[in-house]
Amino acid sequence: MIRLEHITKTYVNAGKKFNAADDVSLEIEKGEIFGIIGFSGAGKSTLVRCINLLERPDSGKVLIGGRDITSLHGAELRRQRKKIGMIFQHFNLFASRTVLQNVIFPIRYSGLSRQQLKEKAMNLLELVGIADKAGAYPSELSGGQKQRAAIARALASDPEILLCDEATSALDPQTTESILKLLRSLNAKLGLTIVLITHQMNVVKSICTRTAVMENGKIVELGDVFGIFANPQQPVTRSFVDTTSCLSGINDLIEEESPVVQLNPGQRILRFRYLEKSACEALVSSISRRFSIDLNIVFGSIEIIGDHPIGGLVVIADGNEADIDAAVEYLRSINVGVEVI
Amino acid sequence: MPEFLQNIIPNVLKKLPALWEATLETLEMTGISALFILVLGMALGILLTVTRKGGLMENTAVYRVLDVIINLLRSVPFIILLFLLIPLTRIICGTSIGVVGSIFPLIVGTVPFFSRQAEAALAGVDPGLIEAAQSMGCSKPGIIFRVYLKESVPALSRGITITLINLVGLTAMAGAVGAGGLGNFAYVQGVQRNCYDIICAAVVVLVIIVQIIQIIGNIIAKKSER
Repeated sequence: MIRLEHITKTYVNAGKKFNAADDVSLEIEKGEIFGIIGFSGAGKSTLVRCINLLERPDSGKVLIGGRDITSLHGAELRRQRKKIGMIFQHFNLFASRTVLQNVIFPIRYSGLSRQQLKEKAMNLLELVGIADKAGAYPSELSGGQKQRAAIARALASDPEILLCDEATSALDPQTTESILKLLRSLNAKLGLTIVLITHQMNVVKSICTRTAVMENGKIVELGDVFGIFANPQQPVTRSFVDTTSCLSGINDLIEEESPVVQLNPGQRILRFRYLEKSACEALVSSISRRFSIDLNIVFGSIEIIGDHPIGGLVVIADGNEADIDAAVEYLRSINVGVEVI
Repeated sequence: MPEFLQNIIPNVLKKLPALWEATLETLEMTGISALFILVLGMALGILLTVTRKGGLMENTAVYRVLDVIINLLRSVPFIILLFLLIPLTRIICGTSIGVVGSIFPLIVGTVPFFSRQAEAALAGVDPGLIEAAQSMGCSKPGIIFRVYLKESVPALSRGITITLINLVGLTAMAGAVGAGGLGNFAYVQGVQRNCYDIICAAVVVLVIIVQIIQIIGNIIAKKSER
């Protein structure tokens, strides 16, 4: 559906070159919800803007449905852009227009009659759940309602692709959740391909099918969301994954010399990570029975991503040394990541 | 009451028809030049906005040239500009005196000011809105008219108010050196004949005109603000 080939974009700022996109190639399938995650300045904003050519890459190609759009200009490019909706962190609604007028804006001169325009806009507002706000001005809406209005507007010209530029970053967690739910339902109902960029791992976790991790203008890691979470390869990916779990909290405790982690002789701190989708058994009780060691859970973070549990535990293991070693050995053999801290 | 007025503004009462005529002339000068000023200034303001760095049709050369010309014109005091423009005014208006002769210098004197006001108003439009409109496939003229102009109505109406009030002041100055209107009335009938009440009357009428402009401007700005 969307193919980026060797996209490069360099900015010169105060005499310094800055690679916002550095030879990025990427393929996004039809009907996918694809996440691009990275810290600010990683180049994800630039990359997503290359898809509708709000930013023109210095080199490389953008193919939408097999068609090279980098060669398009003027009216042809504008026609192509209508097939790609976009929503933004700060909603970018026209303050001087009502919600209804905002939704009509992109299709105002598309040849539809006034009545048809209104009908279509109302249907879209119905779809995003704010039909009752049609006559309101953006300043009268909450953040979530504004983003819903912006989504309705982005869908007005029946796009096949929706680009989301940090679309939930200005929203509170509950509202974020509801907007993500809406996006997921639009993806299912309309077969909409969604590309979203974010610095919130939770967003990726809750709706993306695949994700790319960006750093310094490059995609450093790419894969299905479960794989990225279960087995992050790059330091930057790991730090993102850590933001969604509390397992790294143990390091802080050790640093603070908290009484929780003052070990008695024979005790050891272990960190387990579930690496495989099958790791769904009664781990703790089974190893404590088999190796006759006691496991005291200090931290735990387990969630379900793509129908599989993911996460891990930090435990203090108490028992004789050989038994603990045997337990660690066993866990590794069933593909649970174990770190002795 | 008439006797009381007779005592404090004897000269004004004698010149009431002339005062009325001067008021109309001031309104005429303001109105006609305002039409040109708003159209030309707006066009320049838009041009400055879209050609500036990062603008919709970035063009550094055009921006620089306009920028310099506007700054030059703005640094010439209006009273000097009036004299400076006399030959040109004669060619364009056919005369350099009277209401007709004042229109051209008023336009030249005020367009640069208003174009800056318009530029500032348009600069207040969130760049995110421009980006959003572009992402929807909106054309450049579409963005100018449907986004820039529409979204800056409150700021523009404030800029227009300030400009018109300035303009009223300049018509009085033009009046003092040969054009008609309240400036001329105050100068010829008041200053030269030593009739202080005439000067005061001209001031009162000018204050009323300015107040009306300000009030209308405020109402429009407020109504359009969302």
